[in-house]
Amino acid sequence: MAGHDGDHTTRWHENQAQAVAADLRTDLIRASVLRYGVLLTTAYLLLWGTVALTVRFATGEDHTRWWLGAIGIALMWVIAGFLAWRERPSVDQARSMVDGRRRLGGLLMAEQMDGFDAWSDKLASPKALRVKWRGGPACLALGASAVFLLGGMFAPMPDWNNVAAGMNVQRTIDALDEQVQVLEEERILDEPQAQALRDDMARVAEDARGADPSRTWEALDHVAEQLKKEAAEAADDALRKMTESAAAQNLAKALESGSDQLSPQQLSQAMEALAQLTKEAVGGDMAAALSPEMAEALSQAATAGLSAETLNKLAAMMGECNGDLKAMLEALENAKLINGKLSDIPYEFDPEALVEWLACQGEGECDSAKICKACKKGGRGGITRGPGHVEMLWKDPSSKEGANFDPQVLPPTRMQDMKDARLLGVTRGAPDTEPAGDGSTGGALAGATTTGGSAESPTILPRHRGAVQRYFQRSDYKVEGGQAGDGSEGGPGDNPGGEPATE
Amino acid sequence: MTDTTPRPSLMRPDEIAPTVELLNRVLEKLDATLLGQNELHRMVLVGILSRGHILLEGMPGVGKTALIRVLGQLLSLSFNRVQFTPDLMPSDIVGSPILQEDDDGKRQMVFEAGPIFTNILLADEINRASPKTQSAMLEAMQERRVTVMGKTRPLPSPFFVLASQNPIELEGTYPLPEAQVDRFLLKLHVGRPSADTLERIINSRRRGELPEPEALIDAAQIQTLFDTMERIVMPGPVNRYIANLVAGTHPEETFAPQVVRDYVTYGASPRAAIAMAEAARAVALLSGRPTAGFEDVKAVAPHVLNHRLILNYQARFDKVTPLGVVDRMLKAIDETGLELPRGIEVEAAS
Repeated sequence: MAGHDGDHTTRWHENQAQAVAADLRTDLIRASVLRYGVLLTTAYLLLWGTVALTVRFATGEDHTRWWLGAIGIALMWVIAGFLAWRERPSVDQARSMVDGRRRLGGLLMAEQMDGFDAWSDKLASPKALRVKWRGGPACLALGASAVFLLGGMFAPMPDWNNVAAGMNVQRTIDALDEQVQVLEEERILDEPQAQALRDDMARVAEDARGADPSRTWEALDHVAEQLKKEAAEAADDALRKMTESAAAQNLAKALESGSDQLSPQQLSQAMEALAQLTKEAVGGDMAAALSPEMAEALSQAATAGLSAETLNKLAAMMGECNGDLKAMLEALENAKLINGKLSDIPYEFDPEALVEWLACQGEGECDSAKICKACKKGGRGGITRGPGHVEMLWKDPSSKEGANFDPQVLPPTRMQDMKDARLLGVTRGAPDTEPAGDGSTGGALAGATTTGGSAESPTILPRHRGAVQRYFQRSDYKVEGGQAGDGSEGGPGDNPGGEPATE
Repeated sequence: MTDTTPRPSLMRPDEIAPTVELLNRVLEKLDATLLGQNELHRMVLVGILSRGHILLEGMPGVGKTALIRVLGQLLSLSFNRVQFTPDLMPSDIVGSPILQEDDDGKRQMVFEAGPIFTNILLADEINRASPKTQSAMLEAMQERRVTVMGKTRPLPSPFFVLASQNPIELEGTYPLPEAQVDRFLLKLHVGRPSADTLERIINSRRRGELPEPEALIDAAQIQTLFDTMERIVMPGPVNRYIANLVAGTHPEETFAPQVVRDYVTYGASPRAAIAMAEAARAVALLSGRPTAGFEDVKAVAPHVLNHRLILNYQARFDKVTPLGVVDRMLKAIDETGLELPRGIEVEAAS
């Protein structure tokens, strides 16, 4: 019976040790599965969230099918289980770990050997080992990745359609359409051209979704530039015609009132010039722009001349033509197709002065081209007001205060004076420089004055200079009656320059 | 066909118990005679059981010589002491042939055995002898025999060399060459006794004379001890652990810890692995177990490896000692060879 109890105890201990080793192995596998699962799930959630965020950002559409990604989580845990199983510790490793951690002295590792039963009592029923995974940071990362996934799936995305509407392309297109309409009404653009531009703008408006705003704006800017270019060309042509029509009107009025002052040759040239100006003013086709009778009369004006009534009628027609062109320019200005106030340019001429000028032209000096040119001018030229030949004068000479002074090189003799100079004040005016003193201005005799051949060059301090000058002033000497000035010790005979004491 | 190889079996408790009891008596006697050095006594006995040589390092007067002398008396082993000096010649240790005249008046060369022909040789201050004399002990320590004048003579069995060296006096010393240091199984540091121990020593000693211990073990029992040692089982994982530890002392090894890569120039030799296994067996025997475990290896690893690691200058600058390197190695290398995933730890449940 005792032997039976002993066997039972031995078996219990043996099983207990094996159970501890088996439990340790299981716990290690479990912890490894947990660790790999958390790590892989974290990575998967980050990937899932990134994909969801990217797709939603790109398409702006929400998919309920995103939840199908949860299948991947299960897949991650399957992979984690596989990895943990592949790295599982062997039974021997688990047994040796229990032996080592429980300090069993190798007995547990030798349990397969004969004679182990006798030592099983020495194994004090080994307690289980606790497997611990310090997975706090990993779990935090898992939570953060889950939050990222939820954010990627539910965060509001910008609506690109609203972004496109926010560009207000339609308002710009409406403005451009109005300009096209103006150009069409003024016959600058014909109907097919206008319609083509409208179609282009409609296509730009349709394509403008905000994906590439710069492209949309570039397209609209191109249309606007095209419209302005057409308008500018039309305005230039209108200005030229206005000049021609105003000149024609002026010449017509001049001929109507002063034809009797002109010679037949001058009148003939003037009529020819009138026909040319009128033709250019109406754009070449006089029959369409004027009446056929008027066109016929103008074509024969050089030879047959024009009656006063016809001239009056022609002047009126040119005035109307000028008015139409002015109205067109106003329309372009109002539509902001051209800059400036071109319609306000005055075209006022003096018919009497023109007749006077025509009458002054000698025989053979006056041809139609010259007359055309003279008619386009505002006057006869020259200065009509003020004496233009008079030289311009400034009222007051300009001040040099604040201007940069011209550099002046002081002679070496003045350099010593600068050392003894004292600041008396500051002025913005140019400094007054005295001319260099007598004697050499450089070299070995710098600063030397006529000292009677002495090699010594005495330096006279500024405070003594006045006394020395007064001493050598002959006039003072003469006035003073030959006395030395200001108590100077030397007399006239001590003049170091050796000059005579009197003149 | 059946496997006829005898399956290894563990010693029964009743087989190992007398040996353990005998060793415990020796230890008790040593502890009672030399106070305050219990762990040192235990490791010296490990060295004896492992039949290895021991290098004792310590200050003068801490009881190195007394320990060896008492141990020799307890084990009934012959004991010789040689004080190494710079002028000591190899023949002074191993012996030399001398010319003798016999009764017949014939003269012949007779070998006069030196002090090395003993069971326990205490080489006191071994680092004071010249390299020539030191190298004369190489063959004796490894082969346990001496060759003089072309004739090889075996040394008594068992044969142990217990050498001491003074770590503080470097003037006039010759550091032991690495080949000779490697032949010492253990290098033990003999520390100074505490104040309480000193008080007990003062009370129990007069004029420094040790009590004469009685012999506890005779030659037959010593042989029994060695036979028992042979039957201590070294499990495979423990063998692997020892191999990893010794291989891990080499910085070029892939699994060498960082401390080894940083501070070790040359690691331990295969002789160190053998020594560690033998010493671990001895520790297991002293603990009364028929198997050696990881804790036995950890107990002897510092003493086996500390004199076999050659550190670089960086270690000298950082004041890192070989014992410090071994201590960090033991923490770095897992005993089971199982690399647990990062963050997973195994703890002993309370």
